[in-house]
Amino acid sequence: MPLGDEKHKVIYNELVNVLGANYVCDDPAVTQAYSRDYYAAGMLRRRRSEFVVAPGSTEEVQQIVKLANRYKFPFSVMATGMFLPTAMAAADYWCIIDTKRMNQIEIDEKNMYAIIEPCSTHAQLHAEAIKRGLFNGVPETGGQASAFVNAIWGGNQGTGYRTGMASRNLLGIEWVLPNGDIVRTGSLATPGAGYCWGEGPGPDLRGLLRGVSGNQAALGIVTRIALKLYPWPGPPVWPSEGVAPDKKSELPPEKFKWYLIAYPSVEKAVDAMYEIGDSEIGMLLHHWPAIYFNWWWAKSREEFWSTWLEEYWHKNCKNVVAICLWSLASEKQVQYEEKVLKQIIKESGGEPIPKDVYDRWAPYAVNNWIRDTNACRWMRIGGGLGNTHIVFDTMDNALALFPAAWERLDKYTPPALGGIHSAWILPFDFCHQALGEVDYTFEKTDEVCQVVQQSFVELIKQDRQDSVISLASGMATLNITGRDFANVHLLVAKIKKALDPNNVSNPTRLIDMEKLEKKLAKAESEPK
Amino acid sequence: MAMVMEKQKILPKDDWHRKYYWDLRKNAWFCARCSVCKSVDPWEVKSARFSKICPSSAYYIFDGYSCQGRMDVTVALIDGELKYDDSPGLLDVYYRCNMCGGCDAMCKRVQDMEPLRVIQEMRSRLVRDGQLLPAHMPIIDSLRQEDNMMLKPKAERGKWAEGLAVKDLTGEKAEVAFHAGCNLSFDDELGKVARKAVRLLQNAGVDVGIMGKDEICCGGKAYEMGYQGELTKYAQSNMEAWANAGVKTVVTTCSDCYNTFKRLYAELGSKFEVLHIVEVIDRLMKEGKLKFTKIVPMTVTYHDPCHLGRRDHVYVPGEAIMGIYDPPRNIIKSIPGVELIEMERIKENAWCCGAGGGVREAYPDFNAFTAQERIEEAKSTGAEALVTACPWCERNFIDAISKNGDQMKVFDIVELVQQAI
Amino acid sequence: MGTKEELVAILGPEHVIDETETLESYARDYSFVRPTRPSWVAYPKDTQEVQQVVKYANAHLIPVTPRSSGVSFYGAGIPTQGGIILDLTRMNKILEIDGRNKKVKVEPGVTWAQVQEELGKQGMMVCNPLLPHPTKSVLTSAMEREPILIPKSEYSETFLTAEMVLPSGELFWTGTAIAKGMSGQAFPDALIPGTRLFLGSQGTLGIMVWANIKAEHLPTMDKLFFIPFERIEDVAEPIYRIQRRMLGNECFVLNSFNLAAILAKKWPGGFDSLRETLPPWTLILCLSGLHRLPEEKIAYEEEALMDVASQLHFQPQRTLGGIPGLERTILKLLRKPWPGDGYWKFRYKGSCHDIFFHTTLNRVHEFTEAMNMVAANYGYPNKDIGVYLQPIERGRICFCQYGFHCNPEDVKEVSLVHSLFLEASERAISMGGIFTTPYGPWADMVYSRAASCTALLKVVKNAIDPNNIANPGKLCF
Repeated sequence: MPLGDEKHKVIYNELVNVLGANYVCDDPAVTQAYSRDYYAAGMLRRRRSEFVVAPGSTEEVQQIVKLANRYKFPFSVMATGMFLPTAMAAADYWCIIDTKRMNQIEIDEKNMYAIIEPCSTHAQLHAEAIKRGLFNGVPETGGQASAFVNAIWGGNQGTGYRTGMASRNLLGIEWVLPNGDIVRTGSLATPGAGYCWGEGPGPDLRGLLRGVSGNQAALGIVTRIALKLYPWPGPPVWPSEGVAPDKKSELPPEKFKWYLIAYPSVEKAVDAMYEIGDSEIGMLLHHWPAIYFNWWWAKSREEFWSTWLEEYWHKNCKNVVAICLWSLASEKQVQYEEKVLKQIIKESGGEPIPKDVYDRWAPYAVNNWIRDTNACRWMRIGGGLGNTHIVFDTMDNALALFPAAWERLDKYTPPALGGIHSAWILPFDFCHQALGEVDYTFEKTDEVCQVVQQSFVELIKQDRQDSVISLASGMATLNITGRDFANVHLLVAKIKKALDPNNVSNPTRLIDMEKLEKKLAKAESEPK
Repeated sequence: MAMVMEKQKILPKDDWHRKYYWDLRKNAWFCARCSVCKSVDPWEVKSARFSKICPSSAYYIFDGYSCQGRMDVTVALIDGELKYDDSPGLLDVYYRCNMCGGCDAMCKRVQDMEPLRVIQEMRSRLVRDGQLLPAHMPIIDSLRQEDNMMLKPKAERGKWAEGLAVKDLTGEKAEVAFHAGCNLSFDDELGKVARKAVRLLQNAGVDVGIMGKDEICCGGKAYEMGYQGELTKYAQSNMEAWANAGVKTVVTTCSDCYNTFKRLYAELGSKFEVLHIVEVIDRLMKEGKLKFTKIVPMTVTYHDPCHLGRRDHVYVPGEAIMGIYDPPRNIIKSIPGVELIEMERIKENAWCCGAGGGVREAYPDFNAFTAQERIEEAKSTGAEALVTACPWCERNFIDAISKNGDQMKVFDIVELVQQAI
Repeated sequence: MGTKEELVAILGPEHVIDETETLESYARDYSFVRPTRPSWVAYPKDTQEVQQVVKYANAHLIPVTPRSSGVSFYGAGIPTQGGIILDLTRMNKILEIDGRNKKVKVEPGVTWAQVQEELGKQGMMVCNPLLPHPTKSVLTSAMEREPILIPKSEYSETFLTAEMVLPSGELFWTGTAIAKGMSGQAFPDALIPGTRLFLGSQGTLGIMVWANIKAEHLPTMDKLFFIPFERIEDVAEPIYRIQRRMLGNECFVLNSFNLAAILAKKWPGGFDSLRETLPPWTLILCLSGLHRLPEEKIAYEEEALMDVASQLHFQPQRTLGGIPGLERTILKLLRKPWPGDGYWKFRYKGSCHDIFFHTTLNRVHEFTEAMNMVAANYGYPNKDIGVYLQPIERGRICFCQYGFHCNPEDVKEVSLVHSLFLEASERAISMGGIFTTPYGPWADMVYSRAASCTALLKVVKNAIDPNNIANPGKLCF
């Protein structure tokens, strides 16, 4: 029996008509499971949706969207739901579309791509791909998270140095617009061409899907994509040994050779990374802060704090440039690249981390950047995750913005835990661009979440003053940021209005049309 | 550039974040919604097909039926955001769960948490608060009358041992008590496993006895259903009976009973050594007291029963989630002619058979789905037979296979061993 | 004031032309697109002037068609509704070369000749398409996503960020260029819409006034291999395998026609003789080393190449048909625009009409056969089709280009090739050929098959250009 008022009951019954009773739920005990996540915003704004539905196909998604337009109820969409703040209920009659039933994977081995659905996870795709001599870039969110969402909404790839930002890996896209139309972009727009390519026809609509973050399904729901795959010279089954959480994974060293090189400063590390990029060696390249070593490695809180407080990681893993050389052409490639790397290390003043530290850490943690299993360990320390800096630009610019980020981090320590000026740098495309990121964890209480959320508000304010677009500003509604950036909110509002006249597609995210229209109407009515 | 700040600034205020200890609400609240509880360890995923670990999340789809969802509901109940009356489906959220511990093992890979313990404690609370799952009530009522979980009269309990020349512990003393368990005691087809186990022990020179028709339930399944009182009651009775019989060691072929005796009774003060038959066989093999003389040409795959595998683990943050993974494998690999082909999800990553947590009793469709999933995985190895070490698993697999017309054979490991000696 | 007076007030009298001869020269290009005269040609010198012109045009609903190159091949720069041609060739400054971050900031009038020469001084280059016309705009090439010779995925998506004048006359920036505090201006995705939306737009969504484009280091050492094939069916698999092992820099296939057209020093004798002696298909693969141990890099790649060759029984050679100095000749051409006069594509008959689209490598032979069949139906000799195949992103996809030649003075021949062009294009699309940049007649063919895409693009167009002044009539607008 549906649980709410008349409108609720009508919506519920119609959803059941379309999806079947097994795939529609309005029970508060079930919708409670979609009310929050580990981000401060997710905690503070926790709220149950009225409905959660589980469609099994693009056509079913389309029907839900059409119902939403008919009966005027808002919807949002999620996959594994690891990052929920932009999909949580924010109004009455809210319907969360849980895409767990949509998890098919089809691989075109020859042409190196995979067609995937919203709940195809990184690990699932990686497992299928490596059987075929291919791999997909996997980010630092854990292999259990959605490969699909990583590309269309927001995310990196551990191999980004070669495989680019996750959004660069999108090919053909199938997309249900807020009005219920299905649009197919890239090669899909041509009957018979399939999913293999992402450009065109003409203007590339992937530009409407992605900025630094995705459009948060405010412009409709993507239901199928093709994702780029890349050659994999490794084994067809991922190697691991041990019993969780005490597990190792070691790839054949003649084909995958890791180097962890410490530098006296992040600036020197970046110089070395530029040189590595110019030499075009390696398949993975990162700069990792000391805390990353501990986050990915510690198997318990005690282990984390004991090694952290004795400064084990600070002493041994400061400003580490991590590079993994792969034998794509042959094992001689690794040998060649090692020679080049050693030249660069010598010239740049780097020092490999001590062997005992490497042996203690690498077999258990380093290959997480190829197939991640341990990333969620960073939430072990406090439960919440925040950041004071996530920017994408040149590596130098990402670096230049770190001091301000560290100042913010100092200001918010506590409640930020750990107390170190972390600096994660992930270059893309042989160092044409890079991500710079400063993360921290915090105790996940309402009180602390308020402070953390305040820090995000300040970050966005600072971004606007300094004319910077961090991921936080990129995800904030354009109502807040748009006027500082070429009034882009007005442009997006026109598109949103045309595509979503009933404002049902994740309203309040990307752009809050109600608020914008009220503001514009007020401005219009005021004497000039 | 890196500055390590003063300790009081960088450490969490709540000492729970520095060193883990059990707290119901802290555990539930801490859930990050990372969803590792729904999937196999990414390093262990070998195919997309067999990459999930949580049967209830896989079957019921909605996150309310996942471990993560149960954490959310727990916090909501504790904090008063959700009341019992708000939700007709509340009990299903907690009871559509095999209590297999897959979510728990995966969570422990990355967090200091005990989500299965949260679910268990919440079930106990629900029962204490009178929130009883209707499907379980007749079973508990019957248990209270007949001392078994099978809805059978206790008078029939000893039938499996008819004609078996073995010490009767109600009157005699022995070092080892063999506990058949409710399932084997009343299952006409599988009862032979208990008989074979007893003979095996006897042939190895073990001083073993049974309670026979006076054997009573271990109380474990009822406990998992939330009936804590039943566990305490049966624990006291069993321990008293063993003590009276001079028993030092309890051996069983049932993984549920094994886990109950070894872990739950220990929390109630039990000092008895508890061994699963696979541990005994493994030990006997190593001591040279058991030799396999016949060739058994067969390809098999082995299913890790949850209660023998990852649920055998006593949680210490950071320590490997060890269970009795190796002894059954050692046994299988030692039998001449047998080839072991592992499934994709094994050991702490094993997929449940479906029977546990009161699911078999209350949600037959879900139970059947879970079992069939495992059968599909077993079939994908190409093995002729699926071997396990728990009668609940065995029965569930046999039922699934016969319903779907599959050809795969199912054996308890004792049956496989018997073919080789 | 009339329009001309308004434009003159903005640009100065010498930079606004409405003389017939000039207007006629802008009415047509090397394509079959129907000639249409503009009413004015305006030559702004900077962004401010562009803005002023566009603002005026928008207020008066006058179409504006941008042109950045000294040459136009595909009709994008021919107005459909008259109006103003905005010739951006005066805006020809290289604004910045950032060697560390490997990018170059160029105005629209910067040509391939200009950019390669300037970057060459610093040991760098912009990845170029096959022998671009020297007066072709680098910005336009990148914006229209012309395929590059080097199929490294790290080099691809060369277009980073841009400053644009929207049809309203307002300034807009794409990617991190929209944020003044982000001095790198290197990331194409910042706020929505991302840079990609404006690529392939043929000036229908605004006018780019500068762009940051990826640059790369020039190799310090090269070793060229020529792999001949008799049959087109045999070409795909070696490319798949070579690219799967991520070997080499430049990698592309030319048929004997195109290779002869590029190499011939004497016409027509030299061309004819080369066309006979060159193999039907040649895969040209350049192994290169950068500044560290380049010879060792080339050595291991060569070994890997020979390994692939022995598996598939093909023969990488150091020359073709005994042509002396072939490697040096090709290397001189590889990273530069076409040198000198007489663009190679026009050498045969004076004009060339390319049909190009993307498909997967394993379908290339199907499409080639289809092009041959359609050509044969029109009595057009297969040996006169110039074919260029460009693997992209390590063979993930392949750009296919088929050139049909005719004497522009021969009306009958032009008409035949025009009909052939249209039919062959239809055939390619119906087979699933992906026309990512639907120039001229392709627009109808593509968009009539992509209704939902068309509708969405129109929403975008309407949001950005409600008065439809930005190159109206192009694409689906």
